[in-house]
Order: sequence, then C-alpha cells, then structure tokens
Amino acid sequence: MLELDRLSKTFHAGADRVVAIRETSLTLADGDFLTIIGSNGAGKSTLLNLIAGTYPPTSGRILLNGLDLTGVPAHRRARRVGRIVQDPLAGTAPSMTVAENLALAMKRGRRGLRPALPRRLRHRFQDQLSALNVGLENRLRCRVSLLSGGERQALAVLMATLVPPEVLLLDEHTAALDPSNAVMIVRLTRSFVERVRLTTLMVTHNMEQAIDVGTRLIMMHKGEIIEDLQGAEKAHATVPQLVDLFSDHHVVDDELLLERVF
Amino acid sequence: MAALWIHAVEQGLAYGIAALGVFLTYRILKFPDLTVDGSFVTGAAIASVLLTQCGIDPFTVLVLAFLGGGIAGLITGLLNTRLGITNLLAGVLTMIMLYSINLRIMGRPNLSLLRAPTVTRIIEAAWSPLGSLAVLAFIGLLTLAVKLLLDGFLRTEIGFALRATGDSEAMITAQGVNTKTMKILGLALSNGLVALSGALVAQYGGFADVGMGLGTIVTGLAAVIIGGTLIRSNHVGWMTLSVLLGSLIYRIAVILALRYGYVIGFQASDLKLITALLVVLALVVPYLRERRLRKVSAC
Repeated sequence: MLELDRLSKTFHAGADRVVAIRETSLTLADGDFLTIIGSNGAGKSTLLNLIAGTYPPTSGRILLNGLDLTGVPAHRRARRVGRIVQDPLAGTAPSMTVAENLALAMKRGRRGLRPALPRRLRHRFQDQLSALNVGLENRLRCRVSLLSGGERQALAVLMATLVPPEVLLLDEHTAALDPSNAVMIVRLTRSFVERVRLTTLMVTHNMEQAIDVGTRLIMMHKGEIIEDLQGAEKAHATVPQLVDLFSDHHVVDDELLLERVF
Repeated sequence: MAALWIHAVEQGLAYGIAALGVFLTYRILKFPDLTVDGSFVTGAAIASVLLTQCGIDPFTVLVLAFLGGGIAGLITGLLNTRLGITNLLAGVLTMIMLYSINLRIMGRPNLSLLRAPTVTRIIEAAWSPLGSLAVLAFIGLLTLAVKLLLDGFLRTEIGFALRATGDSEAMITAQGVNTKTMKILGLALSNGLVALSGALVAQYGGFADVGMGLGTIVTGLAAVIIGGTLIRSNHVGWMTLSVLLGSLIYRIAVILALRYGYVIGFQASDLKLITALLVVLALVVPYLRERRLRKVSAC
C-alpha cells in the first residue's frame, strides 16, 4: 500500500515561489494501477519525483507498505520503487550492452565484487527478451546506443520489472515514441503489471490511454487532485467526459483540445 | 638503436598504468580529473622516500604508492561529491595541495635513487639471463597484471555500477546505486594507478622530482585518444588494451621526436606544447565534423 500524506512541494523560496504539489493525499492499495492526467505544470511529474526520492517534499509523508520513505535517498528506495522515464536515453546505460543493462537491473540492492554477468544470467536474459517479442533476444551483446527508441524503452520496461518493485512509476514513458512503438510499450507494461499485480502510477498526456489502461484515474491541476475516478466510473469514462470535467475546473487549454482531436 | 626501442616500450608501459588511471576517470566516469598531475608525483615521492630513508622493499613500495594516490583521489572525490565543488576545480585544488604535500614527503624538490635498491635493479640482477630484456619483461608483466585486474574489476557488480555512473546517473540511481560513492571510488582507484605509475617511473628513471607530474593528464589523454582511434570497441578488455597501445605509440613518438626532431627545429622543451596540441586536435576534429554535419542537416 502506498500512502501520500498531505504532501507538498514548493520550488524556490520568496518571490519566485512555485507550489508544485499542494497538500496532496492519496492512498493506493496493492495492485492498483493509477493513471494521472493534467495540463502542463499540474504537478504530475513532481508527484512521481517525490515518490522516487529525486528530491524531498517540503512537507508531508510518503509511506510504502508501512515504511516511511520520506527522508530516504533515491538510491535506497530503488529496490522498492521502480521507474521508467520519458526519455529512452535516460533510462538505460547507452554505452553498455543489452545484457549488461539487464545485469545492472538484477542488482537493486547490495553490490559486491562478484562477476556481474555470469553465463547463466545471459541465458536467462535471452529467454526473458524472447518473451518481449520485440527481437531483442539476439542482440544481448549489442550496445544500447544502437537500439531504436522503442527497443530501448522495451528494455527499460524489462529492467524495471526484472526484480519486481513494490511500486512502479511510469513518467510519460510512451510520449517520446511513435504510435506503433507506444502501443507495443503499453502492451508490455500492462502484461508485466497485471501478471505480478504491481502497484503502478502512470503519468500520461494521452486521455485515451489514461482511460484504457489501469484501474483508477486521477486528474491533477495546479498541484492538486481535482478528480478521482475509480471502479465503474473509471471503466465507463470517455474522452469527451474527461474534457468536460477539465472545463468544469476551468483548465481547458489548447493542448487539451488538441489531444481531444487525437 | 635496439636499446632505444626497448627504452621506448618500457616507458610506454610504465606510463601506460597512469594512462589506465586517466582512462578510468575520463572515459568511464566522464570526470576530467586533474588530480593526476599531483598524484603521479605523490607516488614517486612516496617511493623515493621509502626506498632511500626507510629501506622498505621496493615491491611493497609500489603498493604503498598506490594507496597514497588513492587517498589523493579520495580527497578530490569528497570535494566534488560532498562539498559540491565542480569536477575540474576539485581536481585542480587537490593537485595544488599535492604540490606542497609532495615537497613535504620528499623534503626537497628532488631525490636521487642512484644508490637505492629499486625494482629495476633487483629485477636486472634476478632475471639476468634475460639480459637487457629483464626490465622490459618485468614492466610488461606488471602492466599486464594491472590491466587484467582492472578489466576484472570493471566486470564485477560494482564495476558495472561504476561504468553506468559515467553513462547515466539518473538511470543508475534508479537501480539503487549511490553515484557519489561510485565517483569517489573511481577517483581513488584512478589516482592509485597514477601514483603506482609514478612510483614505477621514479624507480626506473632513478629519481623523483616535484615537477615530474606536469602534464600527466595530457599525456594520459593522448594515450586514451590515440588508443581509442586505433581500437574502437566497447569491450572492457579491448578498451584497456587500446589505452596501453596508445601510451606505447605516444612514447615512441616522443622518443623519435626528441632524437630526430632537431631536423625540423624541435627542442626537448617543446614537447609539452606539441602533446597538448595533439590532444587539442584529437578533441576538436570530432567536434568540428559534427558541427559541419549539423549545418548541412539544418539547410
């Protein structure tokens, strides 16, 4: 269970003060798959950064399965909190090979002087890559910088779930991909998340995707959660309905209208 | 003439260990570390003092020099990661501090090892059947051992984490690695290797001088860059081999330039200028090529 307790984040003090997250509380049960939508500057990414520990909150607490993560540095949360970012370049080590990247993801906890990539691991990785069905199984020795964006992101999905975390954060992880790759990545993400019933938070700009994927949907605006759709309400939501909800809160902007077209 | 070639190869290998240190920071960690200009001398200073004044075994001296260099790297790492000083400045500050510290260790600007039982002398006596190749064989084996140990380390779980730290800090943090610790570790290891090289060069050359480290970063970069253009590989073993090869080629070029350079008006004192210009050229060519490509694609 993930609990955010009156979480706030303010950037810059004084005149430049920006309140990115304002007194936000949220509780996710195990296996919940939450999608988060909102206009630019709504605080979606900040929320994920706070959970990942990229920076500490200004106030409030973050509890994961009863454990207070609030002051824990990002690298110590890594075993519990998995993350996939928007930029496929940033989520993998480009100068290392596919197999080497996977070996990095195998060791979320303590690292020692054992060989990082013994032969048995290679075989295991090959099987796991075959299961992805994106043709990476024969490219274990290939440098990640030579892969396409979609292939890299598929690798990132596998890396984030190789050792299942307690909560998975997806920060617009399909936004930088072309439509067919985006569909492929969503398919992979869903299959992993559903198989291990992973508690997941997914930020997206795509309302269709937000409705289609997951079990719960929240809408954010100016650092607050303004809508929270669950169960049947979420299952039967439509894009026009979401746009109406946005306009009820006076947050319609060009970008939202553009997305409605797609 | 044969002696000249042996000499060049010996030097290339001995300085090659320092180049491996520069490779570790510059190529693997993407941290341009200037500490090496000081830590090279620290290694030489520790070796010369322990040999002449403490009578410690010259092989043990190499290990102690490695540890001394490691402390120097540790300081740069702490300045950068814990106190927030930028990487270049942290290295420069440690390098300047080391200048005074090296003088303190030696007690004077230079120390002669002419009467000391250096590794080269011991090896010459012990491996006498090899004749003039004894020292070359020893330095070759030592360098190879250092290379293989470094390769092995870079293939461990910690080694992987170190490589990924230079690649993408955000990514490796998300995989549970403290990048600050990795940088400190990498800098300590790198400067340890540089100091080991300094200790070896001092014993081989028969002296330690407080100015002998000047330009270690540049010669190290020259070796890394020359090697990198000859062998393009992302395989750790090939990369370290390329660095040693680069160091060898650089030393051979230096010796040839010193011997025959007068023909076109070179002096020994021009060496650092030429080395630096070589590195400038090697760094600038890919940059200009990329900029030209970008211009074309912008049209």
